[in-house]
Amino acid sequence: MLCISLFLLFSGKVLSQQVYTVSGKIQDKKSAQSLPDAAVWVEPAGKGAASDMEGRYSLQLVPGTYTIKVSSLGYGTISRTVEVKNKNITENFYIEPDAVQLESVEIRGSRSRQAARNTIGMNTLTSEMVQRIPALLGEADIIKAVQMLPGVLMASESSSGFSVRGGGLDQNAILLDRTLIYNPTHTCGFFSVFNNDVIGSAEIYKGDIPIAYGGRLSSVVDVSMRDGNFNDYHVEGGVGLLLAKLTVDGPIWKDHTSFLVSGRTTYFDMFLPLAGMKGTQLGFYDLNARLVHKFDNNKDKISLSGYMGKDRFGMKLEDQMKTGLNFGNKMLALTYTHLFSNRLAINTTLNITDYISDVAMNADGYDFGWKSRITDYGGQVDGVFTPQNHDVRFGFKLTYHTCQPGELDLYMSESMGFLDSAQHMTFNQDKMHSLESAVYVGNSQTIGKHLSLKYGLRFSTFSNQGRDSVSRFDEDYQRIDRVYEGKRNFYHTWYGLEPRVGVAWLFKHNISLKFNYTRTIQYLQLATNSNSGNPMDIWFPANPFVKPQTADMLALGLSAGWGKSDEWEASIEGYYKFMHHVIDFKDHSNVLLNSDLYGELRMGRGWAYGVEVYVQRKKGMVYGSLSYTYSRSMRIIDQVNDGKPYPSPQDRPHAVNLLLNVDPHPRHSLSFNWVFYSGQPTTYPIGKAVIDGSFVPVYGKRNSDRMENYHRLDVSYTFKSKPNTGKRFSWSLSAGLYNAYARKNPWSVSFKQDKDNPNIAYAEKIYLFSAVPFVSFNFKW
Amino acid sequence: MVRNRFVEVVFVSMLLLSASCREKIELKLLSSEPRLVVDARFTNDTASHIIKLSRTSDYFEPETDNLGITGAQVYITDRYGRRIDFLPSDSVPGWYVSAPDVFGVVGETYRLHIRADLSGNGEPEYYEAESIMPYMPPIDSVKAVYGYSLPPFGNGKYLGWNLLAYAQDPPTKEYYGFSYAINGKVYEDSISNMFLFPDSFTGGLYLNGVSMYFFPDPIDEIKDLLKVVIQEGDTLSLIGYSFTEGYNQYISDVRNALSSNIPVFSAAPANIVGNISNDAFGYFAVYAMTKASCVVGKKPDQNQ
Repeated sequence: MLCISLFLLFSGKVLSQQVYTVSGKIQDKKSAQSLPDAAVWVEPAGKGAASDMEGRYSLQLVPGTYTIKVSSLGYGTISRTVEVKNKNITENFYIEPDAVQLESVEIRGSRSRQAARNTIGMNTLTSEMVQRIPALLGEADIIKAVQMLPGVLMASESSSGFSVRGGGLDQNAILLDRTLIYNPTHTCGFFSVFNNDVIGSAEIYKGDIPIAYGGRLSSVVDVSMRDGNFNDYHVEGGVGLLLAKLTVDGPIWKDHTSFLVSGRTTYFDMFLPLAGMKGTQLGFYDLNARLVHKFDNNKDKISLSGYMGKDRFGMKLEDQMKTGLNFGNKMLALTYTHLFSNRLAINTTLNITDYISDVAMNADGYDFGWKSRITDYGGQVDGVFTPQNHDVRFGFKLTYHTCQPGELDLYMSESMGFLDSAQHMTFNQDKMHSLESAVYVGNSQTIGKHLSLKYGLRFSTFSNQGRDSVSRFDEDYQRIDRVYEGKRNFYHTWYGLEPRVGVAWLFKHNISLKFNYTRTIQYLQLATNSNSGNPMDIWFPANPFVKPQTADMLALGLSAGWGKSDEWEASIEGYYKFMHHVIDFKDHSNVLLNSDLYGELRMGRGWAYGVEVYVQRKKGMVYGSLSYTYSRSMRIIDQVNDGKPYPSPQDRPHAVNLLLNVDPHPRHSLSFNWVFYSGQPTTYPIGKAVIDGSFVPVYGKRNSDRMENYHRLDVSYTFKSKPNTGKRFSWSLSAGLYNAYARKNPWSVSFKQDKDNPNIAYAEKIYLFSAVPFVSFNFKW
Repeated sequence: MVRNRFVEVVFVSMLLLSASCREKIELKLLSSEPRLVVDARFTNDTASHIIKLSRTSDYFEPETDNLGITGAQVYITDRYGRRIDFLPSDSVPGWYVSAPDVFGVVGETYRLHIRADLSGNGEPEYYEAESIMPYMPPIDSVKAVYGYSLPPFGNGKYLGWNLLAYAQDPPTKEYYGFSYAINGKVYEDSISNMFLFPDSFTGGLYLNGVSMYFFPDPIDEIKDLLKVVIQEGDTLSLIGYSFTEGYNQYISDVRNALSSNIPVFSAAPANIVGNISNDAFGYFAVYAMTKASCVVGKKPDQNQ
């Protein structure tokens, strides 16, 4: 592999004529913020590039005169003529936001970007795009936007969990500034942890995962916070029915240092007494902050990003007793970027991420607490080297995980009256320590005008560290013995190679054909035996008994763009994915407070395949996208469903997503969003046993039934302040309906006996929402 | 003592705040071949024991009276080969009853034998199961005390009678169950509403008056929900059971199967596995039981 890489790397050089590098930076003209993912297109060379997270781009050109066009989402396009003679040149671009065109941004990148990228199933979302999608309760949310992409399925109504191309809910790497967020949900999933006001952009990879990412099987959602404004102070805020938010950003040292602080809080709690829920707490708050410093040499940049959030659920039962569930993520990332030359940049990141959930119950003389936690300390170095026609990525990553699956604390004082003396009991499950590392190198290269290749190799390792007690099991999952491993002793290591290969051919008329193969390995998984997961689910590592999960995916894609400046775009993508060492739980498993969690696991394999068709119009008075996906996802797990294949909970064969925006006037806009999924697979009873008068269900094959199909229409209307007035203050007022035609989509189906006539049984569905209206007011100053 | 489920209750009630609704739906369910259902409980109580045999039926089939399996041969043996016969009940088809002087012994292993013709081909099929009778420590005494409901199970909301238990929980692992009786009539002893009490947190402790049950006063607000109302002079009994780990699991599996399906907590539905051979449904439960009683006194004067 490495040999081939080296050969291809050098072959490009040997065959080419003398070329020079045109490179530079793309920045917002007003705020001096660098613009990631801006498109650079060179005529008549027919070459393109996209700027990186720092706004940098680089192109190799033979001597000649060229027109460079630069455009970015929400910005206008600028062109400049450059002449390449006999040396490398630097061209920086400052582009202005396009106020009128802001909403009619392209959804999937321009032609140049499409041509430049050799990636299948990759989408870019910006906060403006997310803002346009009608959202539950009016709070724009990037995860909800991700859930509307073809190949992505929402785990269950309202959930922030999602499945990508038949994968599990824990197989998505959700990153904020390169730092993993273990539970990206707030309030049962109605909201995600991503505050749209601080998001610059997000990249979503649905399987053709770039070599720089690893650790999860199915997808990567890489969200970046935007830099604060380097020149002016800005205040941005919003008030909705249940949530308020405020963002402040601006310079600390003009042109050099900027800050961004943003907070959100809900105030559901205030309304709960009106609904007869006195003493109930429900809600969340979160804070984002980012500090960026650019050095004068324009080669160094340092940034510090932080996030913390907390969710609370609580109930006060009279004055005597309180119960509550709290959970939250914290993250801190320090990134240093250094440009060695126009062709070589290195990014170094140190980060910490932490997720805690705890349950407490207090009464007079009685305290109960349960806590679970996962903490990661990590560091990574990512390099980009761009010699002519090549884009070489290399780096390494090291993460130390500490999983605390459960810590229980119970205090009962003698004042309760039934104990002779106070009792304090603790039950701590062993902490599980592990070290995950990866080193990678990969190259994307263009050969001639039509062919582009990419190939890369990632080598990852995962070592378990003591102190730990490790159960060993036989083939029937019966425990043989338990081995105690000493403190700090690395007692077991898994390792694996993750090759990723792709080839793309760019035909005439902007039609491209792409094919790739991706292998991914996942060493940490979520212990959830429920269908949609909950905040108390525990992360646990691979160990001598649990093999790391691996996935091999083959994907083929054809895409085309047409019309004036490629306003239309269409693609068809197919994939087949094999998943090995897939983990599920035995029937009636207990994953909470189980000191022998590993004994509840059952292993097997899975496979998924599908075709995604996507059509999009990027500009005009009416624009939007339509996608249809046919996909299947199957599993075979030991001792589950008698060891026979069954549809995974994520098996929803037909899915349609329609997003339609209508802008009849610069101040008025309408958005519609319609989704359709085949019903969720489920298992209904095929009989009953009557025990003590109760109808105990007898089941047939797992997931052999389906709930009703899911479909929903969301509508929103936005009225904005006058654009281009030159005033600093702008506002928008949005109102809409989630589930506009009040479809009663089943969240779950249960079987019950009639209370008055217990001989009569019936099926009952729970649906979460009828039509839910929302209003929100947002402003910018 | 502390049940994981309370977390679910909190969480789910929060979740369902969001204007969620329930609605009956029409579903057509598949059928399956009838299987034998065994509900056999054998205890250390000297009494006529009952073993109930029935067949599974379609889920929505409203007729449940004709499910009893008649004409079966049912008996229990111990390790010495002693045999206890269960004879068909005259009154209820499918029930098999032992002599009234039958009892099991703690620490003994018992084997259930059933020959029943489920397929109707004239050839009875054979089913069997085995279980040990676990130890049940005695309840030293119980006391009925008037006041607010006491922790850890009560929330102090209503006034009424607390039934306090005094007992030593041995350091070994036990899976207790409880029910109660008022004037000899037993309540809440069915599989779906008996009080399961694994001793995760009380092993080795002396329970010096833990409130096991609470019987609120029948005030208007909750009057209609109450199954029983305690009067002065009533004899109140606490009945304790000691289950095997397997039966404890079976009870909680049955309860999960009967509870509402909530996606954030409910696992994929799966068949409940009992301990009867030959693919029969149900459980041969062998357990020890103990009882302690008290007489309800006079309510203290509220004005004092």
